[in-house]
Amino acid sequence: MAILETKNVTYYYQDGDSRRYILEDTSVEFEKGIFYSILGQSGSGKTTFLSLISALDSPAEGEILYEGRNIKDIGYENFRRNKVGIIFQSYNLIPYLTALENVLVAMSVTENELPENKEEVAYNLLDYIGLAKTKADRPVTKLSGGEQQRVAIARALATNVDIILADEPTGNVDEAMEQEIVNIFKKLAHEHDKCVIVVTHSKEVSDQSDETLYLYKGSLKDHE
Amino acid sequence: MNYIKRALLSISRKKSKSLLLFLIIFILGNVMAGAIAIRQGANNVETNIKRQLGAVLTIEVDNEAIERASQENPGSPPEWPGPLQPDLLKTIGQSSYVKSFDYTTQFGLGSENLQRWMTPEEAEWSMNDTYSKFYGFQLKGTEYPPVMIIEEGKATLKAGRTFSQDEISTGVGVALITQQLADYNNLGVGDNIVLSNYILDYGETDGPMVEPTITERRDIPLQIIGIYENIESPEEPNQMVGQISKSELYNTIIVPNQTIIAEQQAMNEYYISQMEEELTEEQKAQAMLTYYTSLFILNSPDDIEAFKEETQALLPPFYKVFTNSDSFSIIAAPVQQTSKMASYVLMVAIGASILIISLVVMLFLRDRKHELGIYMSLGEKRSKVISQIVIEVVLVAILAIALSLVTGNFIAQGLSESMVRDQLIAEQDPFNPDPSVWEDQWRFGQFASNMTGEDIAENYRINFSPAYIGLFFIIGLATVLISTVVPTLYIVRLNPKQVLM
Ligand SMILES: Nc1ncnc2c1ncn2[C@@H]1O[C@H](COP(=O)(O)OP(=O)(O)OP(=O)(O)O)[C@@H](O)[C@H]1O
Ligand SMILES: [Mg+2]
Repeated sequence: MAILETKNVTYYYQDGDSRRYILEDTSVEFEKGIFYSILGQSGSGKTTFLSLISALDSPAEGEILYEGRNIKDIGYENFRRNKVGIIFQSYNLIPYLTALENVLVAMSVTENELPENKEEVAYNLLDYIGLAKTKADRPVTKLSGGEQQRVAIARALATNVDIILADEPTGNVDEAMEQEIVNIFKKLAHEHDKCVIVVTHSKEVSDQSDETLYLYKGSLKDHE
Repeated sequence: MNYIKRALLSISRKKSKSLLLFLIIFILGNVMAGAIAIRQGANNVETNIKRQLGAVLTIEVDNEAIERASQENPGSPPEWPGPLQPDLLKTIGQSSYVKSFDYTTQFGLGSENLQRWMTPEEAEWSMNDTYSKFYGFQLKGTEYPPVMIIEEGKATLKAGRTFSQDEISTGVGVALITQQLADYNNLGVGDNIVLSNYILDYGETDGPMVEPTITERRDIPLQIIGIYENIESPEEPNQMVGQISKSELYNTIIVPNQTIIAEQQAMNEYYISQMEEELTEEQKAQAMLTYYTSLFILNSPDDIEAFKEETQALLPPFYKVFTNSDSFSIIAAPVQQTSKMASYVLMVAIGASILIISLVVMLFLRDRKHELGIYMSLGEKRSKVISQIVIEVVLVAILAIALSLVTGNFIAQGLSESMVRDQLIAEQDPFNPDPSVWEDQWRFGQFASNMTGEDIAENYRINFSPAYIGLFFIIGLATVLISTVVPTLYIVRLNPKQVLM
């Protein structure tokens, strides 16, 4: 069974008197263990789609199912807390906390089962993502953009969720860094059996993903 | 890294913002603390002084009410109300608020053999004047065997005893005299004295003043059963007002009311018989009535208002209940004024604080909308996000309030010194006191308050009473909590998608 599924989802922005449809009757399925990429022109609605499947917004029509259950019934807050990790385009870290503390915040919010030694786990996670311990104790404002992106990824992973969503995670980094991040996503999907959904403009990223979806004129298709 | 820990880190790591919030609450807190301290000080004066004065009341004709009534209706001014009679006074005295009560009638008598106590100056000037000869002794009646001034500590019994209920009821010839009068006449307990009720003929009233001739003389033999001494307040230069003169005080003789009434009746009957044809029966009956001054002592000053209300309902028109603390409110006017002003300042300060703190917290939150959005995107409950903010504000507020509790109190002390004390003392003119001071004096005698501005200033203390600390913390924290309500609405309405994506 698909871990995440949109069923006849329609979404529009109210633009004065008229409606701007972003999604129309869209149905897609996402599986665990697969690294998806979503492509689309700027303004096509990729971020909007992510906001729906991350329960930060709700569709006008249709439903979004997690393991067959409407996320509305699970509870949006509950779903965000325990089922998805979100990596934003602008890293959205808490500025007065260190890298480690940013990760710990997410760990304290989730109700998923986590190991007792949270701090050690967080350090290890950051290290795994490529942030050494010395940098983990720095306030995030004193880290580079690439380093901050790693913290954001670590935070999304720290809660032990099944679904990782990322909005242009490689938008602000160089090619080497982009490759590193893609490697992490591949590992997450293939070694840790996560469902990874990445919105991107980059051909490099989408080429390396297992499946690519195209958002075009209100619907998601697996071909251009 | 739960919300409490985040709140602590937020305070400690964003020092300049915490400090700014601290300063704002601190400054506003000083205004509130100062206002509360001043109010508290003023209230203390009132309760302290009322407690010192006890709850002493009397019932008198309300001159002001009569004056008002005659102004409203100049054609037919109201008749002067007749005296209150023992039955009514006793009924009032039965009230559960009353600890003890007495009513007194007075009469001036002379004596053939008893020497009136006089100061050396008085002795020189007025040895033989008519007044001291025929009315030199003031008889004060009582219905209360233990005698009010002795029981209430306004006088001490130096020798002998007070009355028995039997002596009061029958009005036998027994008396309490002052130590001074006893010493002056070399008298002791058990000795007998004779007072005289003179009925005098002054001759032609419009002729030149001549020594009156004695028409009739009634002798009243009295046995001294007790000797008492008044407790006199130490003389202060500015307390000369309102003091009962010494000789009047020392020449007072306390006897049962009945003893006096017998003499009053005898005199009244004589004068009525002299004017037999001119008087109606009603006028005659009225002339025979006894006038009493009453004194009620309540269990607690807190009962004053309730007792007044209860009693007023029983009284005939134009009678009113007076308290010995009535003149307090006039003397303490500057205190009341300040207290009122402090109340206004407090209310304005609370309003301004709610506005200012709300705005500041709101601005801080807008600055932090990304952070708040992140918590929500992580699935944190809104209630916990709100709690974090409230904890941050309240922790800073508690520190600021605690500090302003101290500084505000000092400010209040400084202000009070110039606003209250100086005024209280400056406004009192010892040679021209407020009429209320005199009124108190004749209504209450030894029970009069004799309050001066200085007494009130003395009682005007601003301190760190538990009431002040408690009230300020409650008002301060409530103000801060209310100030977080509007910002909280901002969090409730925050859409994380809009801030983050
Ligand atoms: N809150 C909003 N109200 C109205 N219109 C909006 C709102 N947010 C986005 N839009 C519009 O909806 C469309 C889709 O926006 P969205 O951000 O999803 O696009 P996108 O595919 O992520 O673009 P990009 O590649 O530039 O990030 C855009 O035309 C955008 O202007
Ligand atoms: Mg986008």
